[in-house]
Amino acid sequence: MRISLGRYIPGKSLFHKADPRSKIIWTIVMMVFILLCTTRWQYLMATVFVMIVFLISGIPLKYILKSLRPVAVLMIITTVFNLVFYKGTTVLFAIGSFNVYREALFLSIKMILRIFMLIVSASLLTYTTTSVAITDGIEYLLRPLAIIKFPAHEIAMMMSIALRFIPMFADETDKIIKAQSSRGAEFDSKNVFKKIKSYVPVLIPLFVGAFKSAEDMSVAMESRCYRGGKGRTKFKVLKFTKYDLILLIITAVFCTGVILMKTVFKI
Amino acid sequence: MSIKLEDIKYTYMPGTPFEKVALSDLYLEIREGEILALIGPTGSGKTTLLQHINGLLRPDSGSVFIDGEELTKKNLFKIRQKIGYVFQYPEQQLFEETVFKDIAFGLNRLKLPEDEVRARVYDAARLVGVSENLLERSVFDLSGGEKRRVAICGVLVTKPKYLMLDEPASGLDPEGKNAMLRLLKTFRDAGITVIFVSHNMNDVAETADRVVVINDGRIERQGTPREIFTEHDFLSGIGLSVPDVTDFFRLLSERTGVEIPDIITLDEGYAYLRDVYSKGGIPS
Ligand SMILES: Nc1ncnc2c1ncn2[C@@H]1O[C@H](COP(=O)(O)OP(=O)(O)O)[C@@H](O)[C@H]1O
Ligand SMILES: [Mg+2]
Repeated sequence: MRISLGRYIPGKSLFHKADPRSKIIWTIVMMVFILLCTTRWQYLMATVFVMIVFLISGIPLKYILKSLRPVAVLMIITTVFNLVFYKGTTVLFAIGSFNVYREALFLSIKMILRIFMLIVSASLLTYTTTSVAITDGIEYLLRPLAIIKFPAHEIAMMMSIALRFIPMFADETDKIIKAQSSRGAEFDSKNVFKKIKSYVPVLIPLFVGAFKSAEDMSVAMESRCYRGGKGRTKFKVLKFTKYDLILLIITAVFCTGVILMKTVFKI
Repeated sequence: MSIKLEDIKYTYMPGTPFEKVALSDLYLEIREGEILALIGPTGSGKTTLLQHINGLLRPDSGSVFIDGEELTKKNLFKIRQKIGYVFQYPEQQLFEETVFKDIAFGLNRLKLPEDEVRARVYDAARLVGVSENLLERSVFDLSGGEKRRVAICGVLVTKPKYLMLDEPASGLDPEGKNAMLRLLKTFRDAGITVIFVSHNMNDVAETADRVVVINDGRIERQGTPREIFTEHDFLSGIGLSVPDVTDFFRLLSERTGVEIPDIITLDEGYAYLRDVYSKGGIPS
């Protein structure tokens, strides 16, 4: 129950130590390019760079695989459909009366690569950065938008509160389910309506607790004179270090590569 | 008949960086009819241990026997009726519209006739001391102490033979706390075996028949309160203490140089002092 997708894994790698802002920039650049990739060379380059960051981060492969698992089934089904129904020009081989085309194979590989790399890039960020650091970074990066009255601080604050509460809710849900089953509650009914109804003893205490926590939180914030982001200083000041320099250089090299590929070499 | 835990080992989140061995090499027997206190520093595995006894957690290795029957997936529901489990802050799990319905919740699955349900709710309420005029009130209108009693009733309706309570007195005012401890004795006298977790050594000394000390997932000591609370150095070594009166008489003995027997309850302390005064005061 407690272990959730993309949960921060402490580490000492260069990628861990880099500032959340550089990591967010890197992740966004990476994700945008992955979505824009068209040719196989571009895919290759994106994969290589994702691999580089993966190796730098020192996150064990099994966590990456774990984060891929939820979409794996979907991917397999789509691939099967692609292979069977997509009509191309060159037939690779035939399964029964279905022809599998070369184009279908490439299309499937590209699609799988694309989705996998998107997930891997995003989870590399969340595995190596605490949620507090991520929101801090987002707030900082959105700050210029204050000119158009964009509430960057408020949004970041809401995000960090939400992120703070999610694991708490998960634990709380776990505990209430255990407590109610000790009292004889049944949660594994086959009947859908009964199943929904059986969660009432979980949901009501959960909501009562959530409202109470929210209320306590707002009182606590108010009693510490919280009044928005204006003039607020940080306990942990974000610093630009040599790790960020390295990461941003990688990002820059990558961007240059992308632009050259797309415009000059056209590969 | 008794509860037996044999060679229990349990690890939270194995194979992750958050891996935590919560229980290891754990053997324990809980005898029928006793009040057993489970003490240990925070995070020592007390709650994890309780959750193994009613099958909320399944050991990685080892077995749990309830009255000679091994706890498996199949007999879970049957065994849970034998073992009541009052969570820490059980009042947080109340949810029904009325106190009566909340107490009766545990009987829903048993499909008992209505008058049997009524009788059981009233019996539980009487035993725990929830007055009848509360039964039709909303559970959210009660005071903290009342809510906790109602929650305990909700566990007692299934007439468990064993009752586990995780820090039943925490967060109550002194009067509520004392009432809770008296309640534990009431349960025992009504034939229920009581297992409770407590951080308060005074409460343990006054209430328990036997004490089990758990530290870092292992049982380090077990014995009568007297046996346990005379091991002052061991207890303070793992971050626990002895009852206040024990400390008081130990200090008194140290300062005055008078030999004083180990005293672990207020009654014993009182008896000792009365004895001393009747003999003309502490000899100096
Ligand atoms: N759901 C959980 N996931 C991971 N670790 C847990 C979980 N519950 C408890 N632990 C850890 O297991 C150890 C024992 O916990 P617990 O049995 O709750 O201790 P106690 O009740 O004695 O305070 C603690 O170190 C705790 O952090
Ligand atoms: Mg506990």
